[in-house]
Amino acid sequence: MKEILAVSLFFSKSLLKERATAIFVILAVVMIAIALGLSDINIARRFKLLEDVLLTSQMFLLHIAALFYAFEFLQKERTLGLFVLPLSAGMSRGRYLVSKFITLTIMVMSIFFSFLALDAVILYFIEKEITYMLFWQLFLYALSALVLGFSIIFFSNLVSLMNSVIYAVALFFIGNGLDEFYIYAKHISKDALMQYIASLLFYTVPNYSIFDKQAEVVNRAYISTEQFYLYPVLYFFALLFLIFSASYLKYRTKVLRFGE
Amino acid sequence: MASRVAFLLSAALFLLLSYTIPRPQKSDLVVNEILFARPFFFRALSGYAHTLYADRLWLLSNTVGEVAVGDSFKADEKEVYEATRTIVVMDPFFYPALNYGATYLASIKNRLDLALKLVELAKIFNPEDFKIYFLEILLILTYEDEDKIDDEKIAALAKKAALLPDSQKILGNMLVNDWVEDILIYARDKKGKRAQAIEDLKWLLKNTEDPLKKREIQKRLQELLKDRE
Repeated sequence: MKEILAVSLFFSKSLLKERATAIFVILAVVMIAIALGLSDINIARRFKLLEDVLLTSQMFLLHIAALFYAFEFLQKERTLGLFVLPLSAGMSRGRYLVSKFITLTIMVMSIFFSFLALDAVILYFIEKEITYMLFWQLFLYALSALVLGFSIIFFSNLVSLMNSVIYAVALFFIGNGLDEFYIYAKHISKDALMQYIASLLFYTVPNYSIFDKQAEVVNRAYISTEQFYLYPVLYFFALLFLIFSASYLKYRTKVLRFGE
Repeated sequence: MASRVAFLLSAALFLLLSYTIPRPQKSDLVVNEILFARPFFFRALSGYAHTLYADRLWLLSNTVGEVAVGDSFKADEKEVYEATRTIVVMDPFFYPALNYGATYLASIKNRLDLALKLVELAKIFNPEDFKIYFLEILLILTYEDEDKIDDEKIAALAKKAALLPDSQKILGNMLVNDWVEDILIYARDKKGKRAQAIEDLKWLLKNTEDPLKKREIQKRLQELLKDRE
């Protein structure tokens, strides 16, 4: 475990030095300024628009960060051969793969915590209360961003890096529309074939909609504890286990090359 | 020298184009076709940003201007229904938008059927919200013809609403049967129903910016106030 953490921290430090890390935080500050500018517009509930702009912009930034860090790390790995030193020092491939997953987690979570700190200060001064539900929703978006990043790592074992990004993003968009498609098939169209396809997709495509509870949060609507706290986290760990296992099955026998 | 000339030429071309490109008109902002898009497809496409889009559509449809397709500038019930439907699908928890659209359709346009269709749609996404059930009951009791009101259906709806997780916040310690009884008494209370319709219209008036819609609501409000006198 020690060596996994040491390798992960080493990789994370080099990624943290990227200029993009600072740009993500600066962009978050710019979006907060825009949200504050819009906070006077009262739609239904005061600060609803502010919270919507904050959450949506930070959701975008978290996903772009996951995409960027996964791409940047895998690119460096392929061109510079980052795996050579740990693997030649006796680290197993499985452990090295774990450290790749942990590196991405550290990077996304560091962006998440910087957003969390900014939001906590801003919202405390504006709304005069700490809205824990909002922070939890931001955490769920961080989990969703991680699933996106892990998917890129998984696909990079099968196809080229650019294609792996395309496949992961395509899955993200399909996974985001799963709930809508299911509801449309079951309640609106009621077509048997569509219902079958919708059910099939539920078992084969990662359902990103499960991480989206923003509507309930910003409208302060009722949401059960299981749906808000338990299911998304359990689903994340199930996906993590699945993606890691699939990646490991391919990675343990993969011919590793670099500098191409 | 050549690069300077190229730069100056491209800068001149950019300025010329910027000058000639037509400026956006108010109608471009007010009449927005997105409001009439296929809501499910639009929501699936917008991903996690669907609630923010719902805010924008709400501002477009209500605060900024009227809801209308093309250049007619006359919002009919079909257009109001379609625009509200898009907002409801984009954010089914955005209760004020649903309340506004459904109340406007039922009270001003006399289209209770369309109002109830909106409520049903919101219930698909948000089946555990007491407010939506209560809105449905109020709409039926206030705007349906008295002889068409089905007491059993109302009682079933009220019971279902009272058993929802967030109903206790509103009903408190009130017994379910007492609440259902109160509602059925209200169903035959003409005076109470007129008072509710007046309250609905006052609320609509307060939340409407568009002058055309405002005149329509004011006219209906005056009629009801005259009847009461």
